[in-house]
Amino acid sequence: MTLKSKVTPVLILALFAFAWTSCGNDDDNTSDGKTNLELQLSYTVNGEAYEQDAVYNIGGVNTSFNVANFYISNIRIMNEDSEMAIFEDLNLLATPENTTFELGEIDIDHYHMIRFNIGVQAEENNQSEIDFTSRPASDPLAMQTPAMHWNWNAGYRFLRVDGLVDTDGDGTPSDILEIHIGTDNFLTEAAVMLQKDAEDNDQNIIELEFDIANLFTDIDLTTENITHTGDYPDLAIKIKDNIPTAFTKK
Amino acid sequence: MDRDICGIPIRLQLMKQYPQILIFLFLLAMVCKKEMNTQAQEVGLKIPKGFPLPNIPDNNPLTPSKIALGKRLFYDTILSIDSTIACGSCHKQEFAFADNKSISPGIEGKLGFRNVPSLANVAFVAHFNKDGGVPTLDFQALVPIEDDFEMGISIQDLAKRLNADSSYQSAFEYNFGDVASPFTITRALAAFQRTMISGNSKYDKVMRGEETFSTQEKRGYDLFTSEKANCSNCHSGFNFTNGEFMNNGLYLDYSKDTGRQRVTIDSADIGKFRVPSLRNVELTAPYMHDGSLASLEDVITHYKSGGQPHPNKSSTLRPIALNENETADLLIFLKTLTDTTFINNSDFR
Ligand code: HEC
Ligand code: HEC
Repeated sequence: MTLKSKVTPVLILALFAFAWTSCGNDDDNTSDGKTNLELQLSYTVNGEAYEQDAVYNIGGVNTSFNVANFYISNIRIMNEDSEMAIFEDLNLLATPENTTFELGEIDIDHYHMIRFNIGVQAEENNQSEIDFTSRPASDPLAMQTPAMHWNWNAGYRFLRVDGLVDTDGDGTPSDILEIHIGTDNFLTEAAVMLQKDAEDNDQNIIELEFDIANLFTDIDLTTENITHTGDYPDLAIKIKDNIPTAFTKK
Repeated sequence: MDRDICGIPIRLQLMKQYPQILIFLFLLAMVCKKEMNTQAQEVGLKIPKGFPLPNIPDNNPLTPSKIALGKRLFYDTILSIDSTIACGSCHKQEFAFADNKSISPGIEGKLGFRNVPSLANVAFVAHFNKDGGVPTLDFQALVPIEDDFEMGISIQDLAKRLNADSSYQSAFEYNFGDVASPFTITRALAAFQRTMISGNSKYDKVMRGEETFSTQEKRGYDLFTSEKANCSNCHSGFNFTNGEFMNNGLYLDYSKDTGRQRVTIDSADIGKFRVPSLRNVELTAPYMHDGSLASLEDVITHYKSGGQPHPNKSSTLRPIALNENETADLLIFLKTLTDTTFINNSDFR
């Protein structure tokens, strides 16, 4: 009797504790579809692996690249029922050296499609709340080298591709290639079909290919080799229209 | 993340734990708003009668020592890649912090594409540069520092340079509790420039009842504000600008500098530039965004013609029939906007 009455409260407590911990464990339990999602980009040019300063044939024009950086924001992952996981606060800076991104935890078991913006959302781009000079160095929206901020215009270069082009046809790229796309109107959405089930483990990876050559479809690099958006908006618009085609499932 | 109110850093984490703090912070912020307004006076800024209070951001309060640091930076050629050009090389006090060249050379004699504007009353400007691309004075300095045609240095590299100098290091530490950085460099420069207030011209003295216009000046003033000449339609208010972006018909073809369109990428903005203040205009020749008009006489000739028929030209600009005397009167009035106290003020040297 005495033993029993002592045991009961202990048992109840233990049950409580069990219920508590198992609830807490739910978050980490992979069987319900919640996993950490990683985004991996592969930089390519005409389907070949990207190499800085290597010479590629882009629409018949010998071209090399030394900067190919861009921002990714507003990433959304959808399942077949169009349920979405949104990574609202993420601003990623993709560079040929920085291609792997931890997106965070996600609760979707089938990745039907990924949508994202190339560029920075207007609220952050307009520099009114916090500007690039006041962000901590670890923030991709802080000032970068090579610079992704513009100074004459409050905002970021959403996409910056620098290099050299062979404009005189001697085979050697020797003229400047400078493609800097930015300002709110140029925020561009890309959507890639993934049709991939979440694997039942802690980490799932979405792999995308970014082919720089596709940015220049129907562009003649011998004459259309420089835009900072505002100075040559026609070329900037062509590039903007090509941006979504540069991303495919790997 | 942390915020700061009245320069007091507040841990947001704390607010979550003790929501009562919010009430306290609110009261503090109220008191502070008042303080900010009087702050200008405290550091010895005399806001002329008829001027509004300048907008001083919470994260960059004005203090005498920060203003002094900003002044030192403004005149120091260390801010350019080859240590040849200072802000003061282009913005000269004798010309009301403008220059007397169409285009002023930056490093290696390189020429940009715009005429240096006066910095008088820059504290009251809302959108910076002639196309309004920069939203605040607080980081406008990035433009000249980083521009290849002006000072040509990355601001991160400039910060390294300044931090290698012990006297700069201690000045930044004293004023910001921090090293020289893109943030602190631009804020110190802004603090100094906010003190560049010009409001002691003959015009101001007349408005304050301390002096009177000559009869010719008075005729010019009446003409300036008349419907006939219509200048004050755009050059209005205490600073002789409505702050808007307008096309004044200087050219038919603006392809050399499309103005506001560069920022908005809207063809309706081609050839629009921020209406400049006309204070000290006698000292800031040559004129217009590219310095293409050499004299005030040329400017008045331009306005008399009604300007080129560019599709974006303001519809308020029409040919103005001014006879020789009226032209002379208008010119005389414009010269009453010269503030010799400002260009001789030793605080700016
Ligand atoms: C090579 C000459 C040159 C130098 C050096 C220079 N500026 Fe300027 N500044 C200009 C020109 C030209 C403009 C007009 C730019 C535009 O409208 O795009 C300007 C514009 C400005 C403006 C905007 C004013 C307005 O009414 O919009 C500010 C503020 C300013 N400069 C401050 C500075 C500071 C601070 C420095 C030093 C860090 C500096 N400048 C160095 C030539 C120069
Ligand atoms: C429709 C608006 C408008 C009206 C009306 C107007 N202006 Fe202007 N004014 C401007 C703009 C915009 C500029 C700058 C143009 C540029 O930078 O190319 C300017 C520039 C000037 C300048 C050159 C200032 C400098 O620092 O370069 C002077 C002087 C001037 N105006 C005087 C006048 C006078 C005098 C009148 C009346 C006869 C007048 N303006 C009427 C819009 C106007």
